[in-house]
Amino acid sequence: MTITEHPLVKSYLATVARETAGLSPERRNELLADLEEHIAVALTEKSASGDDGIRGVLARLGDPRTIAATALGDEPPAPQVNRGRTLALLGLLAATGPLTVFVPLLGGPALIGAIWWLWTAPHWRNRDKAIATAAALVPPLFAVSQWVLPAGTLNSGLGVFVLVLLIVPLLPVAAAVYLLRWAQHPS
Amino acid sequence: MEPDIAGKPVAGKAESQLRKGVLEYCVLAILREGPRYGVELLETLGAVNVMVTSQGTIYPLLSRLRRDGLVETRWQESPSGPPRRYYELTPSGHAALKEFTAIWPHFRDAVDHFITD
Repeated sequence: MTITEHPLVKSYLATVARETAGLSPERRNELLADLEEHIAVALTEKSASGDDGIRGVLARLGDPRTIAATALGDEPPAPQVNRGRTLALLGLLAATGPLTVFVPLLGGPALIGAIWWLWTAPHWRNRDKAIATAAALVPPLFAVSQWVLPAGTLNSGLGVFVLVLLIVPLLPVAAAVYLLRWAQHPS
Repeated sequence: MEPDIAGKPVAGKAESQLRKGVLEYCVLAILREGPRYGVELLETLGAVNVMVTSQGTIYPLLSRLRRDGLVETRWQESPSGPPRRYYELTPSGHAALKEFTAIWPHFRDAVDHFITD
């Protein structure tokens, strides 16, 4: 029988595992492996055996809750998300859509600022930042295409054009809503 | 579980706060002598009563020192019992210890200055 199968040790390690549920799996497994090794080594070196020997080693290790509290105290806190700044950033991002299409002189700088701000913010994954950036770039590309492409190339009727004109500026708004959702539920 | 460690009073708040601040440097100082494994390290620390009350708490601390790059670890087989995880100072660990060693006498003198009559 290995030492971890002994009921006293098993119950001790199970308590540590339960109390460290808040740790990352990697940290938790490391801690459990360290304690397991400690118990085995301490018993070998003290030539201790039997229930009393094991009780002594576990008593010196200390209360599992104390160990868990120490480990959890070391866990870096989740990055603080400043709600005001998040909303300001997302508001700016949402505004770039209408601005770049209808007021390009304001829209250009706003777009550059929003994208720069987005990529320096800590609380989204790069994948989500890339999605939002792509959405934010559609309106300026659309606006530019209206200048560059010869009139009539994309002529598919006034109704479709108006529809596109309404949808395109809304893409950054949709991206902002998407990011807001992920800022509230960080992975 | 048995209540705390037999014969030792539950550490006071001041003691516990102080230990939190200095324990890692004591660990680094012990490792300056050469690589040690957990049980060995605890025996050295335990020789001075005040340093460790709950031995298991040293492992989260060692894990943090490793993640901070102050120590590195490797497993080594032992003639008896399981392989031991040895902890060894890195250059950053040496530097952190050196810095603390320089600060500590001033700190100790300053505290002494205020608390002695």
